[in-house]
Amino acid sequence: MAPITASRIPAELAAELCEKSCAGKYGLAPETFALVLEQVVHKYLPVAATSAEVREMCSGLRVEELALARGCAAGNDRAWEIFLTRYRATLYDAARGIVREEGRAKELADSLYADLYGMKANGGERVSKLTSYMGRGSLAGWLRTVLAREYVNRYRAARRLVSLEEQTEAGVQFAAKTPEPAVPAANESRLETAIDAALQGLGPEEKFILAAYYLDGRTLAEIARALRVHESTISRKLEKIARNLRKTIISELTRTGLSRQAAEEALDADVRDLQVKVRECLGSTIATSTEMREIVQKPGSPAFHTGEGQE
Amino acid sequence: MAEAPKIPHILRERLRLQQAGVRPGEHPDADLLAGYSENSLSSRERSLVLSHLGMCPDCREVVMLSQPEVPEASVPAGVPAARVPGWMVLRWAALAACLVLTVGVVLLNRSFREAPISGPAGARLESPTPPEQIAKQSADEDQRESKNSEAAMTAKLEPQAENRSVMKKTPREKRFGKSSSPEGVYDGLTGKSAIVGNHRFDYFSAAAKSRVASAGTAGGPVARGVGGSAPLAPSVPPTVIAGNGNSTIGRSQGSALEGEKSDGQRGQLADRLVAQASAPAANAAAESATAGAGDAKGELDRAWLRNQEPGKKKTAAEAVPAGAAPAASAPVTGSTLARARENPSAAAESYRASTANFETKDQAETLTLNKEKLATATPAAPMQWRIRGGKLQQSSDAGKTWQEINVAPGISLHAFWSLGSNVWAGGTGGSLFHITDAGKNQVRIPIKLGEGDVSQTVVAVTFSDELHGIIMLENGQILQTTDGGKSWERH
Repeated sequence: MAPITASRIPAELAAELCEKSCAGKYGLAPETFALVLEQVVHKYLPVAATSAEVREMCSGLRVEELALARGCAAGNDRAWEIFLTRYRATLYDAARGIVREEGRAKELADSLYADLYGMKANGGERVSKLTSYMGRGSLAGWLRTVLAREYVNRYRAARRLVSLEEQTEAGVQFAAKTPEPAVPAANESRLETAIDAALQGLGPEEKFILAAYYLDGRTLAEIARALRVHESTISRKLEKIARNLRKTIISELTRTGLSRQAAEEALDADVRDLQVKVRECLGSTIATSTEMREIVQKPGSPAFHTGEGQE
Repeated sequence: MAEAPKIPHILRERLRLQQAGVRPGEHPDADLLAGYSENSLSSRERSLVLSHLGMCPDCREVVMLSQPEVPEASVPAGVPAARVPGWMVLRWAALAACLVLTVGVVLLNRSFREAPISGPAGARLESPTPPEQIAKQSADEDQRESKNSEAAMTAKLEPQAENRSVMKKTPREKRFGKSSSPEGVYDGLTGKSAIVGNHRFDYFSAAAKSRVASAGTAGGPVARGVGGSAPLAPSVPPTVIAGNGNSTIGRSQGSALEGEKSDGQRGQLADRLVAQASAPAANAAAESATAGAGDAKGELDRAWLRNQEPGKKKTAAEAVPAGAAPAASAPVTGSTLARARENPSAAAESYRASTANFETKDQAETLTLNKEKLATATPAAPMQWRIRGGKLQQSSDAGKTWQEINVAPGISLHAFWSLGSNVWAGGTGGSLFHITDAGKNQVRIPIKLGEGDVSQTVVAVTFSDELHGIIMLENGQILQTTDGGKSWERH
């Protein structure tokens, strides 16, 4: 973290927040807590931020939980006692909600406890993960997020470290080869350009909804919970996004000289269908040649074995 | 929810290719991702994080995994979600329930607000010269004469009547549409109790006041206080309401006046019933029927009734000697009654003078007829009726003892009407009974409206004779019959 060169928080605001946070209860001196506030402001606000912006952000901080977290990070017993009383159950519940399996959930939560306590020494000094908590959201929400991120990291690491035996057991050797990209049609480049342009024109929320629903396979309810709206709102938005995307893409294609009918056909054409058709054509050709060989060659001949071996 | 649309495969492939452009180390830290999930970032930071998420599958995965657990089942991608979510159904169900409840409360409240109305009706019949002094004297006399609990209750209630021209409900009654009496609370919905408490008291007060107000014109009889015996119309026989504040006692007048009814009088009765169409309490009609107390004949009737009471026969005979029958049976007040005792001929003159004030000749003739009947009527032990706990009870000893009439097992009676030896009682399940011969004969009158039977609770009953009657149902509907209950039509 970059060093803090000058205080951007008014003294009276720092004192007010310090009093509100009960930092003294967790063994934090007012100066220490003011320094924590400076770190938060330095991290999330640009240097050119006005004092009003600083005050607004500081007013929105969860200062009581921030003081608790920093007290825990400093090894204050009182802070840990309160932390465990308040968040132990929350942490295990969150782990169970993520992993859905009791044993692994406990393992995940325990590993986070180790990080929170600072078991991993950094140059001989115990570093607690709680020092990264900045009070922008609730401590419980932060814990859930950290837990979820830990789980995702573990999952990705596990996927990278799958042994060959496990891959064999998983049937990797029988996996279908990645289909080769189809031969780009004459209109495909124009279509991709139009689609990319249409996707670029989407707003952040529209992209999130689109990706979460069509790529991640999230439910409408899950997306609605993440965006804090009702499920029906997400449904309506999805419909509207899809309709507008289609309209924009076809409009772009027709602008480049394609007829409307051709644009719609190009958009609706499934590349996988095209590949399947190519394969079918190729397969029928191969089958025909094999039959021809079977007719011409007799069993036991080298060509026949070669043919079996190929299969 | 509609199924998410499918996009062309080539579009998906180009999108996937664009995802590979993110380098390791360019990812937002856990703080930003957590802040994004919790929506605690500034708009600039949020936009930056979202842009990254749109391009980075790893960070999308982290964000998705770090979402707090939600118990609800998620819908797989590509599978249409439920068209109507459960919470939406529940929301509409709750809304519908609230609507039904509101409509029910409004209807119930409206019917209860329109309910008790005998006070003003009585005021309409108020005589031009309120004889407060006479009324006071008559009340005093009545208290002296009456030894039973009716008089005590009347004396207790009478002062309230002085301050009320119309019946007023307590705020609680207005709000809930039922009496707050500790003893008997009538609930129009459940019909648990037919007889009311405070509600009845209020009515008594109004009725008493109307009697006080009307006594002058009538020149007439003592306001008994307990009675409410003023009829809805001149033709309606009086029903004496007596009791201890939560009971209604119908005292049969006998058939002395049954032959006097005219169509016009029945019309007047109907008008009065319309005014009290939505009476909440089961006996609202009976209450209002006793509240009128307007004209001379009503007072005459009460005088006659008083004379029929046990132990008073001799006094009545004294007051109504054979030669001075008109004087005794004329509109009698306490003072005139006293005068009649002392000087029958003077009382007769007074009566003749008072009859000159009557509006029509018919009324005068009716009174003459009454006088004759009064003079010739054979005193009989009056039968008193009341409803307790949904059961009809009768008393032949001025309310000292009560015998329960087993009308129909399982049916809770809510209202009754006595006319001579006839009693009509209505209750739950659209039940209406015609009881004669002191409860020995009971005939159920089916209430058919169109094709189907009426199943609502009968909360008010009134009959002007054996053929003409009006009932009110718990839903505020008023039905009338002109053939003794063989057919009913909306009033």
